[in-house]
Amino acid sequence: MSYESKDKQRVFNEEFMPHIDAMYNFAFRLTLDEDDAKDLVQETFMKAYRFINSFETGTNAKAWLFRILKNSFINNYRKKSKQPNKVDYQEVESFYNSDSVNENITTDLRVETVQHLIGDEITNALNSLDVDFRTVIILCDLEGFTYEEMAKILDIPIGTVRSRLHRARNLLKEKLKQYASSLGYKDKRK
Amino acid sequence: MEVEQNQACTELLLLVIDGQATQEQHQELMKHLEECESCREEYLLSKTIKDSLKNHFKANGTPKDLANSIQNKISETASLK
Repeated sequence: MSYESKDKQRVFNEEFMPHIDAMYNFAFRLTLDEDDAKDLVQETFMKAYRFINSFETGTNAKAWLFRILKNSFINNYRKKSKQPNKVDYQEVESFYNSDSVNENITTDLRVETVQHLIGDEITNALNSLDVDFRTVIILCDLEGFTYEEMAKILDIPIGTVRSRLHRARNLLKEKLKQYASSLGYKDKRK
Repeated sequence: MEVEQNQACTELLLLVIDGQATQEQHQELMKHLEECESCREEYLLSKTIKDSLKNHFKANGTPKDLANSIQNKISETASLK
């Protein structure tokens, strides 16, 4: 689709700009730094403008923008840090260790314990997860994207979205449990 | 056999919690929860965590000048052409 330059700005303002808060939040959750988040959002919007012809009016602008943001993040930050890709290892590991598929069943974290945790504690637990795991939880639980939208944003199959999400949640539970016990919460039940 | 059963439950549970189950899947899970305590606990726990994330999560507040500075850059870019 090709836009006249007047239309470009209109589409940009009407379709893209309303998502700036969600974009900033996503960027901040990924980078955990206000300046980096700002730069990342700016870069994303500039790219969105430049590639506006590949956006189809009426389709999901938010998912389209999130995908650009996620790709920019990977290019800028991950390459720089040259971290080994932990997710690949953990996914392979969980694939071969079939017991871990059901580890949530045995997690003894209590509902009441979670209810007692305050926002900061939950945020800290989320932030402590590896970025790939953090990302799926943000997209699903905070932004409410469907598995299908997440698959497009992350360029991975739906099956991988679901298994990564499952794994991410189990890791989050584990963190919450550690956090709760370090704060002195005790499970009444043994 | 039991492991397969658990896996099926976990998948169903996630679909329901994430609001992506069909009505039939939803009913299937609700029926199962009535008779399975461990799944019931798992369901409540997962739902509580998801709700806590949503409710307690403080948006960081987008810097006030960000929208303006983006608009300005776009106008610059547009006028160059």
